[in-house]
Parts: sequence; structure tokens; C-alpha cells
Amino acid sequence: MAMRSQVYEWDAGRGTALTTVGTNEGGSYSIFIGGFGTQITKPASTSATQFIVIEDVGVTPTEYHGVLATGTTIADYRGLNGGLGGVISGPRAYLQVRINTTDYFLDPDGIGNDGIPGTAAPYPKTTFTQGNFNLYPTVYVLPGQTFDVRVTYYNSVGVNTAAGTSTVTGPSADKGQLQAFVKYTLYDGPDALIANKLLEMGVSVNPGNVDWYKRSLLEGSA
Amino acid sequence: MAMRSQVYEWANIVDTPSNTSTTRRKGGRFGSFMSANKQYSVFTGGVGNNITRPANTNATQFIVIEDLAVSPHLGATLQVTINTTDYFQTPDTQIKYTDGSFAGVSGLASPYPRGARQPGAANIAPTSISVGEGTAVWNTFALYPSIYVLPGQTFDVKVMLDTANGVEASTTTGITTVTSNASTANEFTSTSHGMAAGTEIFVSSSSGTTPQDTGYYNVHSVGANVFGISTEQDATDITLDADEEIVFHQNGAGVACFVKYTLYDGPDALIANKLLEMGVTVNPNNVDWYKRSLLENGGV
Repeated sequence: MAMRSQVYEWDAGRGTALTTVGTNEGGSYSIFIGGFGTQITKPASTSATQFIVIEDVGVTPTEYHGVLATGTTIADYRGLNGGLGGVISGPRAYLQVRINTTDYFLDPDGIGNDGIPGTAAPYPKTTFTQGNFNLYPTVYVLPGQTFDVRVTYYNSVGVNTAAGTSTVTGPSADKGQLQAFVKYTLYDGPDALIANKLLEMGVSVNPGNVDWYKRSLLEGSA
Repeated sequence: MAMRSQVYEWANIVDTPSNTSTTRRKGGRFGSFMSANKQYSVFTGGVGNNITRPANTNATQFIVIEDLAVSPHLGATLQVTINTTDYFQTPDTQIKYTDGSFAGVSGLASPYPRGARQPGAANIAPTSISVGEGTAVWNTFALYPSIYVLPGQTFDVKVMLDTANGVEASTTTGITTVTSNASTANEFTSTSHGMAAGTEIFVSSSSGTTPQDTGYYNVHSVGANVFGISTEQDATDITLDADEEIVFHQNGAGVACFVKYTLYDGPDALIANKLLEMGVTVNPNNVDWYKRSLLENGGV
């Protein structure tokens, strides 16, 4: 169990559901300890004998409609809430990874941005939302570091159908309308030491390379 | 953190119709007006979400642009400019076609998102929300070889539509259309009021017997002495009075684009330069390979 594939799924409508979605637009919320949706008991971190590689992230996608408004209701477009108007459906959500206090994703002017758009890294992936983005190189969380994954959304109409009014101050998030996903591999004990060694060697840290290093050690001692 | 996968997403979506662009994003879902056959920088173009200054690399940075994508409607294309040189050219080495549109990667070739619905024709938006809902446009274009932005260079990504999007609010429809002055310009009695039934509008101010709230409305019925609008998700008409005055902006289509790049910083940028000199493709694998070679040759 020294290398474990792990996933974390967050849903704004579960647990303590995200409320007043209209007034919370544009805020950045931790999917671990942000106070909304699925939560855990303490900030995510690695111990001295752990090494984490975040390999994939995704968040509910958004559709930018190429349609001038028709006045028809589009409360559900490919499973995404939209309200009226037809300009966008979905929450217009983004996912940022934070290591200690540093945001991973930056704008070209060097300032931390909202992160990966769900439109590019959708969760879930469907026939209509394949994604344009893959997280490569992956993100390393070294031993002793704290990490966070933060979600930001800008379209409350996409989070709750009832929010689709002119005032966009709606009630709680609907389940399934604002979700996030993180896939990571947890290296523990000796495998975390090997992961550190691979990092020093400039070799990508992945299960295949950790196994390769272990085989090299065994062959060398044989 | 010396090699980082980065993304930049731009959309013409703004918070209020009177605001054509914002630094960073804000809530709201109004599609800003965009002219036909005009290139807009997705970084500093003044439409949608922008950043504080033109994108560039410093002396210790090296950027590799690996993917570009744009909405597959309204004839959208993307162009990359390094310093002052446009990357995509026509076969006769021009940056414009004879019809006035600009060369670049089209949204039909590299759609954003992958799986976006197919427009009825390349240069138009779907005519209703249900048209093409069952279709999905996938990419026929891959940006390979990728585009290098060397240390000290400025780069830009420009989006162009070959069909105008929306109505420029500040000059045409974004003005009073129903006035109380019957003797001069009472448009209440006109047949169209400058709008068609089905149009979504954003009312930014209102006055009269029963002023309306600021916000989004849909135009339901128009005609001589009739002007009915409704709030969103409400089919009940609000019939405006003859003395009602509204200032409105007509919503445009949503257009978005996506740029994926890898930022090499510090020692990894030096290695990227070295790889470039050696004629080796700059990607994370090759940078790692070069580092391993250095370690092996150094006897580490």
C-alpha cells in the first residue's frame, strides 16, 4: 500500500450546501475546508514520509453558447443549468491548486488566476465535454507541505435553476451542478523516499518510474 | 515548480453590459459586442476578461504554447503573435484573406470546448438553443510543432469573428427607446421599438409609472402600442406603460477561447534554450532527459 491512487470529489450541493449562490459569485472556496459542500476535517497536507502527485483535476464545465437569445427556457442544456438568455450554461467554474501559500496557475502577467476552467478540464467528461487540458507536468506536493484545491464560479444561474432571475441571488446549490474532482497518487514510506530521489534525478515521479527505481536497486544488490 | 502547466481562458462575458471588459473575471453573463473581421487581444483587447499588461517572458522564462482553441461559431479564429510577427499565415504569406478576415486557427478545427455543438453554418451562431444540441465538434487540428516564446519576447493571442456579435450597446440600441415625449419621439407607437420578440436585453435603468428593476429581461411581444417584456424564467408579460423609459443593451453570443502553455522558469528555461540550440523539441520529457544527462555526465 505504499503507492495509492486516490480521488477526491466535491459537490457544492452536498453536506453543508453552498447557499446564496448569487452573492457568493467570484469567491474562492477550498473544496477541502471551505465550509461548503463535501468537506474534510483539516487542511490537506503531507507528512514527513508522504509525497503526493496531483495528476488530474476537473470541475463542472460551462458551455459558451453561440446563440443570440431566443427567449426560450434553457434550464437544462446537456445537464447544465442556464436560465434564460442562452449566453452561457453551467457555473463558469475554475479550479486552482495552491501549495502552501502559492497558487499554481498564473496568468501571463504573473498574477495568480482562477485556475483551470471546467470547460477545458470538465468533470464529468461526456461525449460533449471531452476537455482540452491534461495536467502535464503533474503537480508535486513534497513532504511537509500543505495543499489546497480551490473552486471559483461566476454564474450562479448555472448552480441553481431558481437563481436564474434578474437579481441572480439564489438559494442553495443543486446537487451535481457544481462539482470538482482531484486525482492524485499518494506515495508513503519508502516509496516517498524514492519519489524524492527521482525528483532530485530529474525523473518524473509516477508509479512506473518508482517501480523502475526499485528494480534498479534490487538488480544492483543482486 | 520550474516547469508548470498553465492555462488561460478568455470569454467575452462581462458583468454588466455597460462594461466591455474587466481585469480578471466577474460574475454576470452578458456577451460583449465584437465587430466583424477585427482582431481582439485576449490579454489586453478591451473585451471580456483581460490581464494587467501584455503577456511576455522575462530573461529567465521560456514558454511553449501547446494548444489553442476557440468557440466554433461566428467564424471565430485565433492568431498568435510573437513580438510583432503573426504565426499563422496564408499560403501567399499574408495575414489576411481577400475578404478581410484574418488567418488563424478556426474554432471548427480546434473547438473550445471539445464537443461544442456545431453551428448551422461556419459563420453564424445557432439560431436557437436547441439547434445542434446533439452535435459535437471535435478537433481536427493539433498545435504540433508547438510555438516557442523565447526569453524576453512579448506574445499575444488574438481572436477574430467574421460575423459581428451582438449590438454595440453604447452607440445604437443601448439608448432610450420608449419615451414619454409623444410629440417628438414616442417610440411606443412604433412597431419594433428597435427590438425583436425573443431578444434578451439588459435593462440598466428605467423610469415611468412602474419602473422596472435593473437586470435581464426577455422581449415577448412588440408592436404598435404594445411592448411586453418578462423577467427571466417567467412567462408572464410585463406590459410597459406608454410613459415608460428604459435604457437597454442587447445581449450578444458567448465566445470563448483557451490557451494551454508550459512555463519553464529558472534553470529549466536555460535547459529549454539549450535544447532549442541542439534542435531538440522542448517539452517536459526532454528537459528531464537533459537534466538526467547532466547528472550522469557529472558523475552524480
